[in-house]
Amino acid sequence: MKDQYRLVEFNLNGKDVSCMVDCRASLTDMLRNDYRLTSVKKGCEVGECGACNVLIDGECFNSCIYLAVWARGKKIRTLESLLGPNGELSDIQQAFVDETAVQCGFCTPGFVMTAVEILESGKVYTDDELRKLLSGHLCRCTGYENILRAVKKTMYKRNGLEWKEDN
Amino acid sequence: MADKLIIAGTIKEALQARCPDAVFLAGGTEINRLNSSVAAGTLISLKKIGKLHGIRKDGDKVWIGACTTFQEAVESPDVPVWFREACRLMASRTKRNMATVGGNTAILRDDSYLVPALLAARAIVVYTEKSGKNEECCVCRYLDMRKAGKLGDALILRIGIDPDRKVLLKRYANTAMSHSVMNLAYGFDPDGKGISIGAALKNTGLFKLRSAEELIAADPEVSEETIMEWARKFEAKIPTDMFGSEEYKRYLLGTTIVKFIADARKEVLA
Repeated sequence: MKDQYRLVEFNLNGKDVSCMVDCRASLTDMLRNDYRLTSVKKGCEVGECGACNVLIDGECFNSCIYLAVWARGKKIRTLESLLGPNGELSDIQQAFVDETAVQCGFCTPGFVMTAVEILESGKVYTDDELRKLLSGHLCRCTGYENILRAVKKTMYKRNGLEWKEDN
Repeated sequence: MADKLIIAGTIKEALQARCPDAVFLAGGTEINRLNSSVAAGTLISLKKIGKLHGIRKDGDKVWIGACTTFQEAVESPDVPVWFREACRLMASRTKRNMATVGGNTAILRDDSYLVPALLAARAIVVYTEKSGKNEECCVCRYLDMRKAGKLGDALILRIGIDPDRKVLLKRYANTAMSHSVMNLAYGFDPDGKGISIGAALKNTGLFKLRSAEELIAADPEVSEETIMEWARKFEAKIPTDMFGSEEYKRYLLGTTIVKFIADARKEVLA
């Protein structure tokens, strides 16, 4: 069992960190238990619901099925990285509030992190493309339309496009 | 649950680490999930092996490294459209960022995203065993050997596909995110010949539908009634379960192949 624990060095929300982890641990477990980043939700644990979604080197991954040791040398971002210095919400988080894209809130951090990847691409996507890009997430409350609107509204804003209610 | 993880840096290291209770770990979408179908004491992670990554064109084939993720394949201009569509059958992009072409082929799930398409495409599997010698065979042969309990130790290195071959796909599932009840693929050459049909039937297995292929090859104008009759008599033991009755699944199988034949004809004429 001497190899069961490994030292993993990585960048977490902009800070270089290192952690001794069980080689069997998932990234979700490491982020929640060792770093108290509870925005990373433990949902289905089979990679279907997307509640545990984090950005790894800028791409979204289900952290529940991603081994913590695989994080070595990677840049990991969770929802906590989006807050301003005084806890201000980012534009995409505010859009989720404004569009009532949150009900129970369990799926929200995962959705927001996927939205961050979409928005940081700088591209303008159609509704159909956005639906496909967001398809790795399950929400049992909202019916998805408000989530789609929140992402779309922020995408328009960031790209300097005029937002109309019938968009 | 595994209690040991080996992160292999080379193919040689991965092969040397192979022992009776060890399995290769590629993307992790199956092995790392709760209640995985794979039980092993040791996991040999393949992620760091550079030679298993990448997509390249070589002669008349496109070679896709075993650790190429579904999303990488979706985004590659070198990969034929049908292969990208097969990868997109995994609706979740976050999962596509992890799931690998080799892993999905090796795991041989009965709701496989890729294997039916690879069977229809007559894809080539290049693999290696402990001896380190590279072997290659068609996916159909790979499937037969795995069903016969052979090649359990083999490590898939890459998959070769013919970009000119046409493949039609059809997947039945409750939702885009659900595992499929039935995943079918129909492959043919640009002249309409060389038909090959692959099927993943949930709770039944993976199949190359040779008897249906023979029927179509013998009579390219085969009637709908003949195909439906074939589907009713198809030799696999298809259960009635939560996904549907046996009769309904056989009906879907038959009607889908009928539709494939019609669509393939249209494509050849076009």
